[in-house]
Amino acid sequence: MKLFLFHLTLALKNLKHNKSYGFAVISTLALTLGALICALTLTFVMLYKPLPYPDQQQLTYVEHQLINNEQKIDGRAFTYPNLMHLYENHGTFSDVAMQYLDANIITSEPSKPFVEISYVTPEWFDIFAAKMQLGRRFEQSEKLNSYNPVAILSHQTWQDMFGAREDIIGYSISFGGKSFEVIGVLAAEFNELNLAAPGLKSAMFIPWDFNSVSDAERVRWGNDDGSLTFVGKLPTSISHTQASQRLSQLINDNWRLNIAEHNFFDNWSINIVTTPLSELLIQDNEQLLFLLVLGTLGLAIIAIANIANLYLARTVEQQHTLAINAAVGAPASGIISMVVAEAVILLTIALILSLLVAELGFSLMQTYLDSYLPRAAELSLNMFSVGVALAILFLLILLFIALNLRITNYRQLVTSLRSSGKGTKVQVSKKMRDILITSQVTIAIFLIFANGLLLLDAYKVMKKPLGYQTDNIHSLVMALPNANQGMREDTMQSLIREIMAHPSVAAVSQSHRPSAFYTLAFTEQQSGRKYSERAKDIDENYFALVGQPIIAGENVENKHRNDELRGIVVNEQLARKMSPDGDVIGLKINNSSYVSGIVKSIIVPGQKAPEPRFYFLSQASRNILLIKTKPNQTLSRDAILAIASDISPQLNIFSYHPIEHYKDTRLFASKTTTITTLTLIVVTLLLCSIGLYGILKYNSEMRRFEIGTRIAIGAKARDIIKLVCGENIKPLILGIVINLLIISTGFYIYSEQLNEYINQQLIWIFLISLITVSAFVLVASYLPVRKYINQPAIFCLRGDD
Amino acid sequence: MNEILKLEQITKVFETEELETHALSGISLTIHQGEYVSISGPSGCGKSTLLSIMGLLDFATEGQYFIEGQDATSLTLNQAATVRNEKIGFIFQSFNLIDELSVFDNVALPLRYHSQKFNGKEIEKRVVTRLEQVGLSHRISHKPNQLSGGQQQRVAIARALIANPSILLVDEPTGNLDSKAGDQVMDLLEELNNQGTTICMVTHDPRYADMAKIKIQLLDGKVLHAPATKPLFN
Repeated sequence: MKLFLFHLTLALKNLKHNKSYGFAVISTLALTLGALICALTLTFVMLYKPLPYPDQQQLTYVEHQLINNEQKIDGRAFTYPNLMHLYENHGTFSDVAMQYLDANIITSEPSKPFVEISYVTPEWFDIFAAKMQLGRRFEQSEKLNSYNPVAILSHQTWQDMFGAREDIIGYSISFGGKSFEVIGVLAAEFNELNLAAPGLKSAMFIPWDFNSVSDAERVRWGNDDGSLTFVGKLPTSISHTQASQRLSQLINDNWRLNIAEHNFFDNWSINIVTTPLSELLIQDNEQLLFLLVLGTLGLAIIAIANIANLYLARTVEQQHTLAINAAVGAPASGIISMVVAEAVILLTIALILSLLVAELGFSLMQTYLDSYLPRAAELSLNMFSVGVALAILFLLILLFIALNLRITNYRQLVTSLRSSGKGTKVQVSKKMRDILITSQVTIAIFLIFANGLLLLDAYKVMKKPLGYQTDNIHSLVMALPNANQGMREDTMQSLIREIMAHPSVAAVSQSHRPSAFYTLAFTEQQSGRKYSERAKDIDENYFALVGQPIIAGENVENKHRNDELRGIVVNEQLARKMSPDGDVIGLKINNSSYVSGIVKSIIVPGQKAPEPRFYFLSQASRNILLIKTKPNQTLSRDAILAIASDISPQLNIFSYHPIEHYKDTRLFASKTTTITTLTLIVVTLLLCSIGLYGILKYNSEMRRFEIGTRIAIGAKARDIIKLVCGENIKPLILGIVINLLIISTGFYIYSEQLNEYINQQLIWIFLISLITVSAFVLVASYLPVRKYINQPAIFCLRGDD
Repeated sequence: MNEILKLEQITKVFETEELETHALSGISLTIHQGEYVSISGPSGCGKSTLLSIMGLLDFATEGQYFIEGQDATSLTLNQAATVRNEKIGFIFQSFNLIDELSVFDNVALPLRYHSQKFNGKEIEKRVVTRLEQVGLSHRISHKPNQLSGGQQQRVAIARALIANPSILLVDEPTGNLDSKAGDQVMDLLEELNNQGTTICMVTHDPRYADMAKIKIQLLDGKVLHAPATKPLFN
């Protein structure tokens, strides 16, 4: 131990003179192991860490599936009356809660903030064991139909919006024309789990009774709403299968009774599926996490291989010092301890830094991927992360000791000072060099190929022509004052006229943004066929404003808004779906509409192919507008507010964003994939080239006299290049073959999941990966011998530089 | 007799940032076909540097150098490699055999780099002949590390002879051998010279230097003593 401490001190001094070696080892390991620890911790939190709520294994998410007459799932969201029926009659759970997610403008605050609001039943706070900073939770006084106008603020809202004022209890806040008294503030440590939108945090909680679902919607048995969620505590005595059967029966029976008069739902049914909450949160993330761990593990392996190379080169470099130590009596273990001491120092520093890198990764994920990773808030350095780091440290030290034992010939080392000094007593075998090259090549080709595939796919999605314009177009959503339909119509029409009159405005349409659709059902009268398709309400200016051409028939017209029979416009996909020849003009829909035109299909950002859609006339009171400004001109939020306040002081802006913003949001996943995969490709190539150069450099260092001899007996530059490249082709080919086996096996086993990637491009991407890595191998083979072939032969034979 | 090597006022200076070392100063000599020349002198006198320049392993700082009448002073690295391969055979103190290659492949190596492409049979015939000449044909499939030091040096001699060079340049051939093996190697060299091979040998051992027919002594990069019987020096 004393000797090892001495070696540690010595190693510290040596490292001061080898800063570049130390920097290379520490930075490479810190970054790649940091990424690996980050990915492993994320996987642990998402897949294995219990939810931070009491009886978490009993917490159950209830999914409401609407099954159509073809026995396919038409929707996965609750209809309001079914949810209420389940809440009141479930008889299965020990505790249940409902949550409805919405957003609104807080009109009582001077800044008029637009915030997320959750409407919940009191049990919600019990189920999630919500701790309070101030005040109380919802109780029996806020139970269903109590209509008690109170509010609970999130800790964040209390701090940001109200400056953490201690006298907040009793304060009144208003939105949607109603006032609510604050009765509590949630504690900072409470981690909200939003089932409707994972990752989204509610600014405040309001009793269920005040949810913004309209009276009409509350009794519609066929309209589902993704903002409605239901959670319960399932007793351990009841299995999920039993619960699903029982609840499906309960809901289905009641639903059938209530939709009996609607022919549309003949042969439709409701299926209730209960899922453990922890499983629900994993969703599709399991595969993503697997890929993430695989990717970072690949990088870490390359990095470790590189570090192993540097370590071998360093040991070769130190052989004279080692020989002197051996000659003066250092035992074999002392020699190992001497070389490993440096590695221990470097690895420890790298591992500490890697934990910091992982922590940085957590905060980046919490900032940018919160909505995709429901439990991102729980990410932090924990015992698991530290345990992983220590395990890696231990394994790496073992690896380095093993490498050392393999390459250092103690017997030769002891006698080396007595011999000529030429040749090396620290030898890295050809087999080991080939294994290192093959491992680098295999991992590099695989990572470049896999990332290239994902990159190309994401890039294609991003660059796919949308079929509509986005330049100079904003989407405006207005918050209308409480008023009757007529007044709302007048307000909106006045607003449209005033905005149109603004000098910077080119066009206005009373329509939602091009990428926003919802699902509507209809029956085509002639055939009696039923459809449940993506739809949107628009006005007559919409298609011209977004540049979406009508290819047959006519546009909708605002003047027909109150007609008994109104036109709808279908896209090409729906036209072909309704009639193989696409001739659908004039077909009657639901006795209230007919197909007046066919419009060219668009691609919603993030989707790969257009889907069937239709467009119908919006109501004159619709509070959503598209505004197109003239080139190089803008219409500010303040300018719209000024126009709105002239019409009605209570008229507010809900949201106002360029539609590019929505496009960017929808393409977030593709953009993230593009950036991540591109970064991984660059990092892989960088690590791979450093690694290969490292291996081949000390390889050529060790072969210096051999190369010198060859040159001395007549080998020319090209002969030496041919020799070293030729030798490295074998491990390169082996790496390629291993990759072919892995990839073809992977595609064979996961053919269903990977089906969309199997095309001709697959071959091209593989070839590009292969050529890139091969080029790196050849360049890395050439560079180290360059100095030998460009100098007189004596340079190699003399044994010094 | 034909001139094999001719050096005129060869100077070699090694320069570092702080120091300029004159390893050779104005050396002129000529070696004719069939001669057996030894170059000796104390350590650091420049004998190995001179041999390196004669063998085109290094280049002179000043002076002119001819091989078989052809000016070799300003050859490119590749041209020098061709001349080394076809006209010069090297024998090194530490043998410089390639451990991964068999005795056969080590001996055949110069032919692989030869401008004339030899077929397998021709290579085998030549290798076997040369190994028989050095008494090692029974070791043709062995690896160098399976041979004794003397045997390794004899393989190196076979390799040096394989391309029928005009001259053998020999650098301390017995330096890594015991006296018995050293004597065997020297006997072999003498025998080769008797058969007509031109040899120029660097050695610090006076006993072996005396075996050469022409003896040159160097001191501090200059010729100290040269025989008067033949017009070797200008």
